Amino acid sequence: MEAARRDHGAFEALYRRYVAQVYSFALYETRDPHAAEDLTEQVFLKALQGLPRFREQGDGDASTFRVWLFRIARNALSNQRRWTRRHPTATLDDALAIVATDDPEAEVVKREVMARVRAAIERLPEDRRRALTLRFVEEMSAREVGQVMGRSEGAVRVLVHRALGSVAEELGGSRPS
Amino acid sequence: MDERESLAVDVYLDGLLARRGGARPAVIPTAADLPPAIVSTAELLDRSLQRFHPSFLFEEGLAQRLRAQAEGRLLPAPPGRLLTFPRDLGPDHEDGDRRARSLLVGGAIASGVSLAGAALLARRRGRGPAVATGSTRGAGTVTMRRGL
Repeated sequence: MEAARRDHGAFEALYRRYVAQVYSFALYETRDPHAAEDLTEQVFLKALQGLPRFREQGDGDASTFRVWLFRIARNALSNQRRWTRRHPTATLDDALAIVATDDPEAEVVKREVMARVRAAIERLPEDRRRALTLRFVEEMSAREVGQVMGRSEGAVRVLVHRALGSVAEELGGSRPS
Repeated sequence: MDERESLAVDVYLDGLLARRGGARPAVIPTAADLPPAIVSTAELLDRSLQRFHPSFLFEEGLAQRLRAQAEGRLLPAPPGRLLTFPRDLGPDHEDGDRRARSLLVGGAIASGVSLAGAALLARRRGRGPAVATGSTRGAGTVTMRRGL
């Protein structure tokens, strides 16, 4: 991290490592590839500007840089939503529609399942949806999700648990007791 | 839906997600005590919620913009450095020196062009079209005008 402060090559390594994670988070949140790109750009430009103020508090897998990066993303997302609230956006399906495949039949089935899953997730309250995205897509621990969302680890566990229950119910399963 | 079950689900998810990279978690959590609907939904989400990668063009374009921004911020051209020209820059000179040198070279070229342009204008006004080449004509005119 100290190297990234002094040397842009080191920052670029961090950028390459996290760009897909930030982009995915942005895509799941905005459901619009262009908005996701805009948000990704904002996040990394802000991270570059804010790097001198960032203090690493972990090491290796416990690095707090990723949490800091996603906090920037969360704030940028809030700002972007204020701007785009009145504008219609494309759906995540548009992004998936360009995926090529060698097995069209299997791909159709897979897309139908994914469409149902995404529809169920989109109906979740924002905090549950975000917790689920960070947990499954970004593979963050409950502790990391809590740091990004400003919640306790226990609160995130309950959020994820409830989100799973809601999705299960939407998909036809029974809500667990 | 109590905290104990949420904790059990969390431990199960840790194991589920750890398998993605082909890695075997040290302790494989059991899903036996969890509601089947939760387990099947978690496994479905594990398969369905994939990570997306931005386009190559976007990634490279942003990398370039970040590089440019970082160079602008981290490698400013201090004004005083311009006075170091035409000092011979060694192999271990800083980028700031290189930037200062190119700025000054650009300024010198611009000044030269301006002088030649002014000289050409003065000559045309005084003597009409000339037959000399641009460089000799400019130099001669400057000498002539200074002599006046």
